[in-house]
Amino acid sequence: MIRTVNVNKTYRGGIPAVKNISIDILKGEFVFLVGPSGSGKSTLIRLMLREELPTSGEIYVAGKNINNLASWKVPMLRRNIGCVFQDFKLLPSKTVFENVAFALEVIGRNRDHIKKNVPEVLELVGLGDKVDRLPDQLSGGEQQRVSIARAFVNRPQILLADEPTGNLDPATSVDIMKLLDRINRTGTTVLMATHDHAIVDAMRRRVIELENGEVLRDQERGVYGYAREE
Amino acid sequence: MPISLQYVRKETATNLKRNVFITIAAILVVVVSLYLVGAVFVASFAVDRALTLQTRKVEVAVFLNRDVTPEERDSIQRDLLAMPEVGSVVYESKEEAYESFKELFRDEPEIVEATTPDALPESFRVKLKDPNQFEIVSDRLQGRPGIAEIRDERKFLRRLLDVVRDIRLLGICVVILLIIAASVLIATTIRMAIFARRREIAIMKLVGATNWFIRIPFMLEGVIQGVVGSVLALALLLATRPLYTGLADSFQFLNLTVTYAEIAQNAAWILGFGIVIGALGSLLGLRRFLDV
Repeated sequence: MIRTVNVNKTYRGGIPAVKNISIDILKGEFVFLVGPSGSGKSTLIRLMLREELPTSGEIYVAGKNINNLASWKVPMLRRNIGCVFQDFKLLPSKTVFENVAFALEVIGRNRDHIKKNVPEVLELVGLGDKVDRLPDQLSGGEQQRVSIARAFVNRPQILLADEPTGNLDPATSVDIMKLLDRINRTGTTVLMATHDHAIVDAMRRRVIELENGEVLRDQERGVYGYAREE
Repeated sequence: MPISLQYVRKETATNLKRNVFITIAAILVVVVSLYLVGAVFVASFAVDRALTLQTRKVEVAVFLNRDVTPEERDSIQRDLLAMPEVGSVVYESKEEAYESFKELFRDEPEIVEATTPDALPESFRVKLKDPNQFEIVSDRLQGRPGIAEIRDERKFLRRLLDVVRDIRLLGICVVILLIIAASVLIATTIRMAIFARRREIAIMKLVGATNWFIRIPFMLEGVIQGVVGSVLALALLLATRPLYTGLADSFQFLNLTVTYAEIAQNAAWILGFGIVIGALGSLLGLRRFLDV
């Protein structure tokens, strides 16, 4: 589903952010991307979304080489990839329903489609009774559920999550992980960047560890590994 | 969390107000620049029309001697008609000259009283195909018996044309500067609008909205500012007509007065300029935003 071949990315200034990364993530897999801050996790995610172009190497998403994707086709790539972030990225002036509906409106879905799909996905994430709340009126965990609902409402093949539990307490984090696990079981490929040891150790999924921009370890049913100060 | 809700509302309101002021400023600059564009257009229109009329009236006058013989007169007329540069020749007798003299001095009867038809010279009123060929015609007739004086009545007009051309050039320079200023200001309002909505835009990009889907509302905003500005400029141009027609009337002999209908004929141009300014400003404002 996602394959990178010898990917390098050097930002202006000369320090390489990722070095010679070759990974292959299969359809339906659940993969943790771990490593300390600055190890290249976010850069790798940005590359997969084509927010950045690699300095060298190739990236394939759903079988397509996204390096030579015409820029007008990039939106189509992103419609295939749901994204969840540490800071939720919700619109404060829109209700829960409107935040999720927004993702469908701006890719031109009609009202009937929105009316059918938004309540469905909000039910799935367990917010069926809070559709008219504003983000401010929700807890952090609930806000992250909204953002997951927004990422998933278009039924993407891939879900990228960048530190989705970074702002949440352990109990809430477990709930979010259960939700991501459920989404994964529907056949969605999930790639989650994190440095939450407890979660990684509890889930026992494939772990790819990065350090200084290089793959240190790629292990099935792995654990976080050495304890590190973040 | 009522406090943070209140905060959000206040922030939105301030943002909106800030944008409203800049939007008004942008529209005002469009109004001022397009008012001047319109003024230059209308003035050019009036001056062009007046000069065309005037040029058509003005001709070369060949005054004949008091003691000219009929033979000399006929031969001059024949030669004039034979010249390739000459368009038409009209003979003006002493009586006809007296009639136009009376008309010219109708407010001063004592002058008319003191003059007889006999005191006025006969003349040929010659129209040239190309008024610039006066010298050629004049040289050819110079020194012939029976001719008192050859006068090019276009000379005065030519000097006027030069002045008009210089003024128009200056006007166009000012107008170009103003159009650039208006575009840049519209670009600023678009930047502000983009900045105010940067969260929405980031999310739109993330979920795969196409660039045009994101851009169009902002482009529309710029074009609307341009159009509103141009409509206001046109209204102002029509409303202030009495002011500048009053000025035009002081040059009565040139007939520079323009009607409301004639101003309205320039409406399409002014509107077009408004749209161009708006679109140009939007593109300028969106330029850095074009990459995904």
